[in-house]
Amino acid sequence: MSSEPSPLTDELIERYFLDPQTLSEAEQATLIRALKENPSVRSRFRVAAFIDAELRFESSGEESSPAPIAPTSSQGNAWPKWVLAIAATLLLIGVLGYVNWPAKPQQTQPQIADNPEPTTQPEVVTAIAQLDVGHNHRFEPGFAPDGNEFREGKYHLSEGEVTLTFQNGVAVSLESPARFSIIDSMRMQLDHGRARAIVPESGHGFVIETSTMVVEDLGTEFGVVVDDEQNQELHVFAGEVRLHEKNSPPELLTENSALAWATDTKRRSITPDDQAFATSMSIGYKRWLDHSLKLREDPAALFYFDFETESRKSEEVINRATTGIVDNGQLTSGIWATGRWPEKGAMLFENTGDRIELNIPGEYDQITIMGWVQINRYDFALQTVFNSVDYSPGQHHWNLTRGGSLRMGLSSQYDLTSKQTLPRNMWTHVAAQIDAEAKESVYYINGEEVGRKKWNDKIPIRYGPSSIGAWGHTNRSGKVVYSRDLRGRIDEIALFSRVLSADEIRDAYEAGSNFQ
Amino acid sequence: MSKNTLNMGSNVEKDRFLTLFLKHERELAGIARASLPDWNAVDDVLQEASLVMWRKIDQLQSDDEFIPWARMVLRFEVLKYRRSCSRDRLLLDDDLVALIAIEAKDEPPEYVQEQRSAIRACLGKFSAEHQKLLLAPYTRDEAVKEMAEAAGKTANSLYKRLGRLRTKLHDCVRMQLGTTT
Repeated sequence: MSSEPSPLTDELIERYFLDPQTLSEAEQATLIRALKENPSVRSRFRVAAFIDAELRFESSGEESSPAPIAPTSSQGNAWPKWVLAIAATLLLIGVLGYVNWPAKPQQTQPQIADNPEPTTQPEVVTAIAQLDVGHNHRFEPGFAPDGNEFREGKYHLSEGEVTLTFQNGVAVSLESPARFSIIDSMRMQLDHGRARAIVPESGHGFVIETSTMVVEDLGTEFGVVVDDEQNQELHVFAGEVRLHEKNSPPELLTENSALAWATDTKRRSITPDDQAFATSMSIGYKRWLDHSLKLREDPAALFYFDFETESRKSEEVINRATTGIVDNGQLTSGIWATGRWPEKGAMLFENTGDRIELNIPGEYDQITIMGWVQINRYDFALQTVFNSVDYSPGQHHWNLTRGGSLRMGLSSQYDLTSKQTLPRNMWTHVAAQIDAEAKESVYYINGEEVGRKKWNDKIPIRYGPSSIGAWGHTNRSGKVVYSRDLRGRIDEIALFSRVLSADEIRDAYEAGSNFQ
Repeated sequence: MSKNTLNMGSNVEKDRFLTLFLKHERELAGIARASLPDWNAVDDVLQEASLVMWRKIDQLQSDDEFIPWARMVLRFEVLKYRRSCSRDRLLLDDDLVALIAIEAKDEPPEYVQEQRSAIRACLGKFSAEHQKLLLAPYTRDEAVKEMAEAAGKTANSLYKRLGRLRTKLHDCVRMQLGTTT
């Protein structure tokens, strides 16, 4: 079928804006293909978005009567919430302004004739790129971004690694030491260092230039190296680039090829080395690892499982917490798998009976549980992340409902179900603070609070025999039987005998979230 | 004194922001809508983006540059939002969304005002019943369903009818703008 603009695609665009769920899979595929292949379909799509916005504003200004449309102001009955947020902010400023200036503020306008200096407004300098992820990175003073914002100018990365994202979606990862300039959103210059560019379709034509060459992207992933002596390399990992060298006609370089230039020799072909260039994922992994190594050494860490193993047949899940309070976990069954990054391990709970058993001695006034999970399916009314065997007073349970909500409880005190849910097939950070001194528990998804519960009695928190990935309870004949099987992966889970602050939880989420 | 003057200056800047933001809010909503799966997402992203703009309004030298500047702020907030939401909510992938957004820059700024007038003029040409139907999806979550029930039809068939009505509205807008092929 052709992807030319047609009455069918026109109607699919409108129905996409009405409710994409009403499009069948075939209709979705038709729409996506037409959008990808045809600029005029994309133009129509943009106009449809504007019409959608206008209709929404119209409806907010309308009562139910569909009378002829009168010219309206931009005010409707149902202000979108962003306008309310701004209004609230300004109201606050208005009040502060009033406090500062109880009388005739206009008298103080700085527009006085004898003001010797003309009021110069700051020049508009907008960010061309933003810092996406960094690891131990430092820029030299005077050659550093403004916070996370990179504008036109020169940058010297003296330590660590960073990935910048340009507004057109181009991602460039750089390793120190690196000196580079951002020229505009489609162009940067590398004077020294190692850079890898991942260029989506919207960034075609993106250019990295060095002292002797210009590499123009044609939809690809490539790396450029410039060393101290201006020896250079170009590696093409995917797609094509157009190479412009001084005094030579442009030439095309395709996937899996690489060239090297040395000052005193002729250019030569080399083997492309994908591993030698950082990506935002590889930087994200290192950032997580650093953070993780610190958490493992926390004096309050009871257990810290990173699901790394020497052998995929191992039945032991190593507790990396340096305190040694809790023994290694015992894997009954489960699949050693990959986690958030290709180099990271995980446990895949897939079959009936898959779980990790462990024993947590002692009683605690405070605990924090924190981990990363990726749920494949919700097969049961409840599935267990981490529960004590049985459920007697002071024991904590962490389950997920069939709908994906967190369902937590402290036996004899409370149950709590979160409104927010864990999406399927997506790595998600979960955390809980349980504080018997304050008699309060708080729960988090991706660093954001999703539930809070006060409870009545000050009772110590305890676990004893426990399991990850299923729940065990003692039946009438005194045997522990397991149910509530989890279907998905866990690649990090830890228990601490203190309350980690909301900031610490947020930091852990952020340190672990650069995996895409 | 100078401190107070600075405060005052900053308040003037914030007023300037509000004026610009309210003037262009529909346009920004339309820009964000093209990159996001639904109106809840648009509301969230515009809220975040408006706070960023509010903080950084002093970077903006000329009011004429507001839209390109706001577009850039929006672009980053959209990326952030899309990264945080589950893949199955996003029918269009990141590359496609970026492509749609990038090409919009080539359209002349006066286009927006003309487009808005055209939408209003075209909407006025529809019958009262059709106007009501066109606006129904924005009034309440269940509005289309209820209308379908009242008319003894399935919601899906009403959505299809709405899709055709909107295509007509869209065609009328393009005709007014002289962009039909």
